[in-house]
Amino acid sequence: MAPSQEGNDSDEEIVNVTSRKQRRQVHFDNAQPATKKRKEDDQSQDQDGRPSKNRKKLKKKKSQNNSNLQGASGGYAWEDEIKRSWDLVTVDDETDMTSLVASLIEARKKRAAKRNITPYQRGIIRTMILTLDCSESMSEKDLRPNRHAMMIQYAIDFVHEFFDQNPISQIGIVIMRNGLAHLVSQVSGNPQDHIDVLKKIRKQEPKGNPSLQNALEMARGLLLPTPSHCTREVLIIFGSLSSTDPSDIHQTIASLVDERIRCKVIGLSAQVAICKELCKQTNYGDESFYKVLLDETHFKELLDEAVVPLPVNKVNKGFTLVKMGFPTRVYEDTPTFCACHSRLVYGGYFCPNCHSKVCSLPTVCPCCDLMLILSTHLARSYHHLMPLKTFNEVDIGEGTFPTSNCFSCQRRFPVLKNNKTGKLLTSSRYRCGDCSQDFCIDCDVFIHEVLHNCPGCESKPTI
Amino acid sequence: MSADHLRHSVNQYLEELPQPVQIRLYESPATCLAIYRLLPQLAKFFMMSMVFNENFILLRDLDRWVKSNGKLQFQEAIKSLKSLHLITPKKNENGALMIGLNSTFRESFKNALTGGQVNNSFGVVIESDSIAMDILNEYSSSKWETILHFMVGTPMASIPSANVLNLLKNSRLMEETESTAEFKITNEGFQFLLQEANAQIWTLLLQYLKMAESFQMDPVDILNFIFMLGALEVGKAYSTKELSDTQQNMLKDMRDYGLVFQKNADAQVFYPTNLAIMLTSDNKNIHRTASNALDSVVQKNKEGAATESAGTMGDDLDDVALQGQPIQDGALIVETNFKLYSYSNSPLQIAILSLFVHLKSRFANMVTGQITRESIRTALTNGITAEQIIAYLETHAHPQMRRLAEENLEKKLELDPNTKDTLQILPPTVVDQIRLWQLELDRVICYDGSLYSDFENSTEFNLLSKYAQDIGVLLWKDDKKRKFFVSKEGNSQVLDYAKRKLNKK
Amino acid sequence: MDAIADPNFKHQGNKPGSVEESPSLLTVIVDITPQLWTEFDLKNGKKDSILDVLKALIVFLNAHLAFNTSNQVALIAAHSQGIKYLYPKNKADDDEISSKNEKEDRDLFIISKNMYRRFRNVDETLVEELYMLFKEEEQSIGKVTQKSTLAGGISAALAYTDRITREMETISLKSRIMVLTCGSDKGNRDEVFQYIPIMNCIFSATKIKCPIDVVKIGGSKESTFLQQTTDATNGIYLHVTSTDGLLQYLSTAMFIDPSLRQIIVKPNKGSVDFRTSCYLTGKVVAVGYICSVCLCVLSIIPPGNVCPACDSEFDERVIAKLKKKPVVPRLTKRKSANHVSKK
Repeated sequence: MAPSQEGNDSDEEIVNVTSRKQRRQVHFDNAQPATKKRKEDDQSQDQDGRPSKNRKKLKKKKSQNNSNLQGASGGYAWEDEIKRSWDLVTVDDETDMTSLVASLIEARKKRAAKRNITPYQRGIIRTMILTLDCSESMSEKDLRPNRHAMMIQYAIDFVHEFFDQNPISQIGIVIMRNGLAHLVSQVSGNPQDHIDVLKKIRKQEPKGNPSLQNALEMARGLLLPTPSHCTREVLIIFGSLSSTDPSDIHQTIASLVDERIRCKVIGLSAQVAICKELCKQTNYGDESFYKVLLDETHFKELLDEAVVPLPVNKVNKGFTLVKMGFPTRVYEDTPTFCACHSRLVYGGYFCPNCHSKVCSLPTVCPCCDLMLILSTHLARSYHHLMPLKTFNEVDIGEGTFPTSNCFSCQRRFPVLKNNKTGKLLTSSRYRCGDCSQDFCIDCDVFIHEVLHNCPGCESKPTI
Repeated sequence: MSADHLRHSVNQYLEELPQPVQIRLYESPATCLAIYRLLPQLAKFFMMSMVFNENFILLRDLDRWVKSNGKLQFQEAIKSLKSLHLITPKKNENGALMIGLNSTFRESFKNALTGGQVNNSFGVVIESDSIAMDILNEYSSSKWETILHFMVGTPMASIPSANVLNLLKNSRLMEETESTAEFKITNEGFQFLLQEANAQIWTLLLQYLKMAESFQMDPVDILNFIFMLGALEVGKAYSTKELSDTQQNMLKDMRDYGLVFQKNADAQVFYPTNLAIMLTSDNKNIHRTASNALDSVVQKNKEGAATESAGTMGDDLDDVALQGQPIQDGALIVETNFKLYSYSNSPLQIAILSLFVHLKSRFANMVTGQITRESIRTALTNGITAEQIIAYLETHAHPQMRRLAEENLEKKLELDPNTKDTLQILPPTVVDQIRLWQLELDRVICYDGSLYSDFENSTEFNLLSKYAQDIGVLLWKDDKKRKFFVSKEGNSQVLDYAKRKLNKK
Repeated sequence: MDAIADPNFKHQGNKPGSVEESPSLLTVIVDITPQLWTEFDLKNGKKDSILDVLKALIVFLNAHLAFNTSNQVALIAAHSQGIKYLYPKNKADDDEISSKNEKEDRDLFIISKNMYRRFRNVDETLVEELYMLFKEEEQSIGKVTQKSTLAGGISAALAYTDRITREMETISLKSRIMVLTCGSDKGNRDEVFQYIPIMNCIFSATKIKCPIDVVKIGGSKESTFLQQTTDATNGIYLHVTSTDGLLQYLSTAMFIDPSLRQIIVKPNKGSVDFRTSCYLTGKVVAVGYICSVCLCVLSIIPPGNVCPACDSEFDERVIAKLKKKPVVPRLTKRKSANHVSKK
């Protein structure tokens, strides 16, 4: 490792002494992408050479660790005097801490509320293969309680969120374990099935090596029958640093590109060259689809990103009409069998095409293969197509504003002042550009993340 | 848990009143409102659906409203309505059971809701007069805390008035030692201390009612006044002119408890304090104990501008009941290693904690302590039960602990939706251990009964012991020594049997 | 998610035998657009039915406050020019108003002086604000109203609910929303513009687990969107033809506290209309086509293979496939047809 880096990192080193993950990521990123790439290539081609390579890698890791442990004074980090994070904060007695903190919190919320609002044409009807790494490296405990448990937990949340936002899409789940790819959950639009499966996997111990190629080939096979109006996506959560593949993975990648399958990889430990390559190739040269997580919250954020449907790419054109059925709901006094699970249920939905009864929507009619949905399901995706404009923070100006209460929740806007100068730190008002109403930060977040309606614009009598 | 208990005890008192008294009570709208609030949820729903409906309705129809999983609540609701004589049953021509609302109650309650003729039952406000909140709070806190401190036995100057002492004695919360004429707290007293504030006030007031009956005071007048107090607004002045003589007399006692404030003994106005408001707000969400409430108020006044954000939050809510900080003072955290941290400054809170916690150190806004076998045992020998301690810890748990518990439960439910687990706010180890410590004390159980011994032969012994066993009165036996022990209740039976069988021979 | 089909309120981990006594927030949105109410008055030959409604509403709010000491209410009016919080009152406006019109006591005559304080506080504010609002309405008679402001009201109510639940986190406050509107006979033209906002409201309401109840007075029986709203949020839909006895309806069907919802049978019956209409023809669609880009619903394949809503061009081959009629083998050629199918 280059000594110059150590100098750069030394400050950060002290502050982040506890965050092991972050540190590791830092040095891997800076490390040697070139050599690593070569190593990955070697590995995928030549399995017999693995043991020796592995040892070499271990050694390298160790030496890096050593340099990392070096503190600011050149000795070991633990020989340095302890500097606590709160010692670094200097308290300025003239500023009121509470209001300062409040304004900082607001700024943070605001950042979280910043969303991409460019109205793209998005592929609303999606088919995604969720590929989970269940190899030995997932038993690492750098995520609590371990990577595996956390990944499964987040995957469950993801499935919920995914179907919440994309009700007419489908998911399939593949796991990489023991050098093989297992299809654990068939491609379907029923979130409960997937969640049940994920809960089952939670109890399994992670084992063996992962094989990216096997998993990708399986995903390819699963995505083959999807019609052209659906997007084909693969989301891989990858924890290990290597992949054990039976043949040339680059061929697989090439065929993925041919079939317009788009891959997104979330790395749990460090950047892996082949993943980067995979994402770059399958996303028309866009490298942003490969991300390595910084911490647990970042993991969540990365998964949330994957929930939003991808913009339709010029190359990936597949506009079409899809035939769908809008069933009517019926109430029954006596239970009858449903066509989908063969269970006795009261009431349900009748397929308008073949009149078979299904118990939940959206689904594909088990009898005539017609996609059955409710109009409300379509409405659920509308906000992706017509995102709400972001509200703009009102300038502090002279400190006088037209209203003193939030338009939607009636909360009085806080007055956060710098005690010394009496200047406002922030106006705490966020204004909708269309109706010029002011909202508080909490409403702003609520409106943009949950509601997707501007209460101000909706209460205008004119269009 | 204790909120239910309180509700139960007040309801029980009301239920036990003779019907004419109940009917007279229902003439006051304020009382109706308060009684209505004490009812179970479902009963409240039924009542509301009947208030604006003059006709009798079929009981069966009400039953149909409720799903099969709510039958228990349905029975409970109907039972409580019946015992308060709020509903009158009637058979219609087909013999089906019809019920209707008590007409007096209906009228008063309707008036309460619509603001019709309320007959000053909600007090008469004197708009021109008002009083600063902090005076009121200070007053009520000093009065109430004096009582509690006195009970805990904190050495201090002021002693509650003779009235209060009398009440404490009569309710057997404290007893006078014969030798020194000093007051000593009883087991009930300890239990009382662990209750929530409104439960405490009610315990005293119920006792007051019982005592008042012996003084020939009209319970209707008293109850009306109590319920009216609960419906008033803090900080407003109320005229005493409209009060009956009994109520005028009561005012003095209420002043001693800190429920109302008067500027001088024969002033024409009185001011209810927030202790009074607590009377009819039985919710866990208001203030867990009086001292908390008062503390937080004092705190709030001190901090003033510093907590502006919290302040603005509070003052937007104009309702009387919710003037407090969202996070209660005195919140405590219990760790799995039996360590306890309580964010409180109040000497009272600390004194109460020290009843069952071995307190170690005190910080600016917090005390820490350890729950030990000894500390729990002292509490147990004082008559406090393990359940009470656990309930106290649970109700005072820091919101953070509650949230954590809720999260954990959610996770568990996700893993296994049929899990029987309930919300565990306290670490289970601590809860179990406290219970175990209680069991430890219960290792010896005393039974009254008789020992049978000195049998001539084993047949005789077997005959009698088997008989005792068959009728289920045998508590212990030893075949070798030919002895057995039967309970007191079964003794005569066994004796009879023995006489019959053995004399025959 | 199945939230629409299958309200996700069902599994709230409630043990039988204990209904938790938690306070609740009731937010009422009342549609007081004068045009609608005059229309309603004309039809029923009555006068000022809106006042009957408001009177009943005030008592209803009192009843909610009586239910639990910590219960809270909020009332939002959706009028012809926007929305307005009638309670809680906007604190800042307070000073201006009181200085302006010195508390018009004569308007408060229906509020008894000696009422229970919490009722009185709410009721007085309410009546005062209403009075102001009607004055404003008087001035805005000539102004254009193109769409109802109800969706805005519901949106604001959701934001308010979200805020209060957040603030009251420590005391597990439950909440519900009630919409009181007056139906109009003249088609549901204005509802079209509200479809998406109302749908968005539904989804947020399911997300924050807040049931939305709807009372519709007069007009046609069905109000598709509002009916869907109640269905998806586990709320109650009630249609009454006149304002007579409204209070009785409110105090029974609309009085089901969130904590009682698990054990009380909802007075909903009949089916909810979930069908949609075609973007081009306006006909109700059972089996239709959906543009994969903008999700607009069509009952026919549009001319020119271009989506009428978003102008995206459809893939020729897929259209051809959709247009293909099923092949019916002729009876005379039965043998060969069999042969083909075997292959």
